[in-house]
Amino acid sequence: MNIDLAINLWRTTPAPDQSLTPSQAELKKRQRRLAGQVRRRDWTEAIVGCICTAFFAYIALADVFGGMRWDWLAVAMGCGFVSAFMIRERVLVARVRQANTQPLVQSLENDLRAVERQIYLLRNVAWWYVLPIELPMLFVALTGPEFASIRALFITMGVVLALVIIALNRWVVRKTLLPQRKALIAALNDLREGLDSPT
Amino acid sequence: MHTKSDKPVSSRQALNDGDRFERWLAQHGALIERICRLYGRTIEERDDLRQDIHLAIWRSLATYRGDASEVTWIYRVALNVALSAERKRSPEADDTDVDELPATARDDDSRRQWLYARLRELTPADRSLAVLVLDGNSYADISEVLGISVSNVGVRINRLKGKLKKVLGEQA
Repeated sequence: MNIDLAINLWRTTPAPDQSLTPSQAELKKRQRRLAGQVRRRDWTEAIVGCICTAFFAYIALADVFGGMRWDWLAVAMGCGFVSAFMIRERVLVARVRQANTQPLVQSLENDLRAVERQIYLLRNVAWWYVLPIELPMLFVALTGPEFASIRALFITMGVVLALVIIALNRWVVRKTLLPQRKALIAALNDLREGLDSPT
Repeated sequence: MHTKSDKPVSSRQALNDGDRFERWLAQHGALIERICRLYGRTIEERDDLRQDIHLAIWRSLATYRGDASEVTWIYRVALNVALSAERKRSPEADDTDVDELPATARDDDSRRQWLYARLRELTPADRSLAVLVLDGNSYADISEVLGISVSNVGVRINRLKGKLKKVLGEQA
């Protein structure tokens, strides 16, 4: 097929059926639904974080176990740190998120930065998510239950849970984020390839 | 060849977003359709992509200030959405190619389907450039959509022409 015929066939591609054009009401509804989903996710995270922090702070301070408990207070602080960290990330992502109106190269660069940040967060889930909660919990388990077997059970469960969370996050990085990063870098290299690049 | 709208920015801004959206889709619906056909391999993928592009254009209306021409704006939104959808697609689906037809087909529809299938063999970034080249945009317009220099556009187009000849010539 020669290039002129290709151009002609390309430009005479029929326009879509009018029935495929969405109404404005439909678009507004979809936009609201999408915004609602994001809002619900963010609020759920924030509320669950606040509830956990308040709950453990109450246990620590309200004389539940006879006097103030530093170990439970540490758990509350861990929960508070994790929730604050997650909220901060959401705010940062929302601030950086651009509409799809930028030139392709800029848009790909932004997407690459976002994917790299996600990879960084998931690879480092141990220090910002697992350890701030698990370490104080471990301390509670060590000092809490009277029987050594129950203590050992709690500690084992905690360690297994931590390892599962870390492994799952690494799997997500390998399975979805690294291929996305690779595709973004390939697309950027494709577009940026300059005058002095080999043909 | 697309030209920038003749209307002054102030009058464009005065247009109601809804009216503008309908006008854009009426004027540039075919452009969006070509992108959907090129990046979507199945009917479902094309439908999803079309919906995503429509929604992205709708959402972008509020930020349109007339700095770029309407068609540049629409190309940017549509190609960004298409490239993003391509990245998120499962690699397993790459084996599916509903448009693969025998090269012996003679009617325009079949030949067009064959053309799109061949163009899909290009990398996603090359496909973006192919869209702009086949639509007859100037180097300056392509540079604005892609965000690369005009001289780089020239180099990229020369390379693309070679690739196009190869993919189109294989079964000619």
